Amino acid sequence: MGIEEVKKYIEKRKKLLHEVKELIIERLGLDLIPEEIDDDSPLFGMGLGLDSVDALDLVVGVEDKFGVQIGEGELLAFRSVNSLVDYILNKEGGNEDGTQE
Amino acid sequence: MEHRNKVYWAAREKAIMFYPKFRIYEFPEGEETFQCLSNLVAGRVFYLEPNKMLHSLILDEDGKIVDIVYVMMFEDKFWLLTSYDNPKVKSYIEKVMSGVEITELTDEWKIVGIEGPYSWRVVKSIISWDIVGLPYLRFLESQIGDNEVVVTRSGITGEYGYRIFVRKEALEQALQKISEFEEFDLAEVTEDIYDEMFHLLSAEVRFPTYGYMVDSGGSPIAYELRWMIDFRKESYLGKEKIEKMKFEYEKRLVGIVCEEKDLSEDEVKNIVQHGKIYIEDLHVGEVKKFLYSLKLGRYIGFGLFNKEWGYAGISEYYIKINDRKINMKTVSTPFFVTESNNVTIE
Repeated sequence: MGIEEVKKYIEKRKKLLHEVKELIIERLGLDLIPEEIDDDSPLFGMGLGLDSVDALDLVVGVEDKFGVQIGEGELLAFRSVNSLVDYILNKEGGNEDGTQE
Repeated sequence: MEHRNKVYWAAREKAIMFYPKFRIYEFPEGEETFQCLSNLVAGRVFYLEPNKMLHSLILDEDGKIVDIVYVMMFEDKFWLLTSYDNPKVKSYIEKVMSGVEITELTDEWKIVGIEGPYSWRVVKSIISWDIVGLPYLRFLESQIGDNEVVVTRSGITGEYGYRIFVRKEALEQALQKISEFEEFDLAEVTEDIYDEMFHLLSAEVRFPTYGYMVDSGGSPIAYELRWMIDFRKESYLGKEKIEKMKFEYEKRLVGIVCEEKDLSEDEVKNIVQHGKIYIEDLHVGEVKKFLYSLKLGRYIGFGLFNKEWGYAGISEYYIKINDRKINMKTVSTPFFVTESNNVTIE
């Protein structure tokens, strides 16, 4: 990619990051705004401190909003907003397991 | 090198033992203590309850990081754990907690850390079955022999982690008990490799450790530590600046993975000290951390990027040192999922 294409990629990623943060807030009823959630902080344990029930709720939300199917063993994609965005982008790009290359 | 590698793999596959370095301050329970602690620490102090702990930040008036701390709430007191060798933090404590009785316990209590995917087996053998159900950032009060101990579930490597607080006169007995554990070899993080080891282990999972991952004076927004801040709280040190910073900031810290595996010692040193990140001819950031991950078998680190360029998933960046270009890519962190995610405490 040239510099202009990288800029386009960044715009796409920024939009997706914002949408995923909005989804997390809405779906889990968090008293936060997207600017108060880090791209890379963990969703579970430290970080946002979500639990396994929240994870299932998020799976449904992500599948509905972004049209991707998340397999049973793929919950690890939810370790941060960033890794969730990687997953969605990779699925969009035709990488079936959604993992980073 | 052999000892270092042995300890590293023990941390990632079994368990390690070490002596965490904290300063411990005690405050009596009470409304005034609660209020003062809430002003001192940026996180959700009011969410605390007995046997729960909070991992958060002390900020200065400019919203910059002074220290990363833990607050532990007992039935009748609080403990504040600060970095051991942070010269600034004590003056902030004395200033904000001025109406509260402060007792420093650093010399009275010793701390033993046990961390790794099977660390719970070690702790269970010396404490009791009670630790099996101990959630992250909770603690329990127990005994080793006749001596009281406090056991927290907290770590910095992304693996299961425990801290055993024991009065100094009972340390020997606690260590004796630990040495009786025979299920596997518990590797000790000796002083000569302590900093190097925890620098690497915490960086691999982006765990915010003061002095390794996070420097004093850094921005909690650039470091992506918003999760340690309670944005709804009425007041705390630095609140006014933080409110502004969350919308207006200049830098972002992003994980980087080096595409090249063969770098000389001098090149690595040079990258750590002077590494600048470019795309084509445009300078977009600086290398903040650069170290060799044994688990990934490659160099990883963090770049402090100008805000508009600091995003994961970009392979077009390179590090420039002297006239050499070293290819790298930005990635989501943690850099990998730790073994503890596959292990159930039982």
